[in-house]
Amino acid sequence: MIFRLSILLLLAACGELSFSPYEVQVTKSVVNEKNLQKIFNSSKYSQKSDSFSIAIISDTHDYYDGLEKQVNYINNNSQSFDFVIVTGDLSNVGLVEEFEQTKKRLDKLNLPYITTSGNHDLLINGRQIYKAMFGNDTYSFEYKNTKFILYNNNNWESPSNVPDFNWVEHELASNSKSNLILLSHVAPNDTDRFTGSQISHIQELVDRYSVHYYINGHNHNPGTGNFGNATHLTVGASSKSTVLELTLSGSGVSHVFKSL
Amino acid sequence: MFLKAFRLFILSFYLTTQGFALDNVIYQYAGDIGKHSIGTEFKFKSWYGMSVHYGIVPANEFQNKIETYTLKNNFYLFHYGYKNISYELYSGIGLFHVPGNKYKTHEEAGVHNNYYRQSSIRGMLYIGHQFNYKKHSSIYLESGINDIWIINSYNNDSIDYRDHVTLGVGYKFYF
Repeated sequence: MIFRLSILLLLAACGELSFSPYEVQVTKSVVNEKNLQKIFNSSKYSQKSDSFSIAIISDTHDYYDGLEKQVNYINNNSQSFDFVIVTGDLSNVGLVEEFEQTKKRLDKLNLPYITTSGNHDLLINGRQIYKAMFGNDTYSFEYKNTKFILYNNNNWESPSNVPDFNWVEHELASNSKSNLILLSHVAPNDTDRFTGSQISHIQELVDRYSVHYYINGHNHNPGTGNFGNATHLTVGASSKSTVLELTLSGSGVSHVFKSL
Repeated sequence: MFLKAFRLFILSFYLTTQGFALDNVIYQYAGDIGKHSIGTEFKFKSWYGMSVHYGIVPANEFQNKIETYTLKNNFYLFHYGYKNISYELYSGIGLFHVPGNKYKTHEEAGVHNNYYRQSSIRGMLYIGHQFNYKKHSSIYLESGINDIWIINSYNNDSIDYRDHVTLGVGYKFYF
């Protein structure tokens, strides 16, 4: 009897003292900033070849098995890629534990990864958690022959100045590279979220500054189309078992959706 | 704070008028329903009791104060007594609600209500051990898991529910 009670006691005594699933106790790690440094410190960056490839995934949500599959695939082919981009929705309702589970798996990547926020990441206290854990969600950088611009366009879940098209235009106008890639979480032509004039405005910017690819997440099925004169790609969720591979060179940009 | 305590008092008063005596007060530390929570339990049967709790998590640099209202259904599965001390094994299902606009994710998207699922109400399963001294005080140790991680561990082989079990400890004082 005492033995059985001891076993039960041990069973009931496991676990951590948690105050609330909504509580925010997070260590500031600003992944995006640190990993951008890693991207530029990598030996791949200093290679003379102008051609390079990256892997893009999105909408990891609570598809942890799917994300692990993607991470394994990228690691097994890490020689082919220079870095990884995640286009948002790293959590389901913006809880610390959700972000931590996703980050734990992304940290297993052999390559540096950078992210932008998705609409789900900004729920409840998600905005503060995302900022502490990943840093800014709106930034740009130039890598070899390409300028990448990532921006928050989750307008329903953000302050009224989002999306900041003035910032986007400034970044587009200051481009000096041969390839220009624009990334956000929500599709720029989402008629539920954006007014006709907003869609026309971003499309006009895409055409005026000759954006090659507009890449977003949000819709969980991978897809290909056009937005203005740009190729428009939807990355697809981790549950769909695909990885978007983008190859960029002096002669242009190409893509393939790799089924896992 | 006072308004919440008052609501809890009203609920307790209602149950008291229904013949269920308010004869105890509970303090619980942690266990997903607040850093500190107070409540009371109404014992309907020797094997069943329902407790209500009000808990808070203090504000920090990332969040405002989090309040939690909890309703727990406790099923007493086993009882063993020796002199003035007794032991009870119990299990239960609880519901907790966190008030505040930001937790109403179904309303988050402005006019696009129900774009997100409800998030301010969560469920939990738990198992606990309660040690009673005479009939005036008890301490308990409780392990639980909330609905998020029950579902996630069901949907993902790579999620082990045991990593998401939370622990709470409590003290009951009987008047």
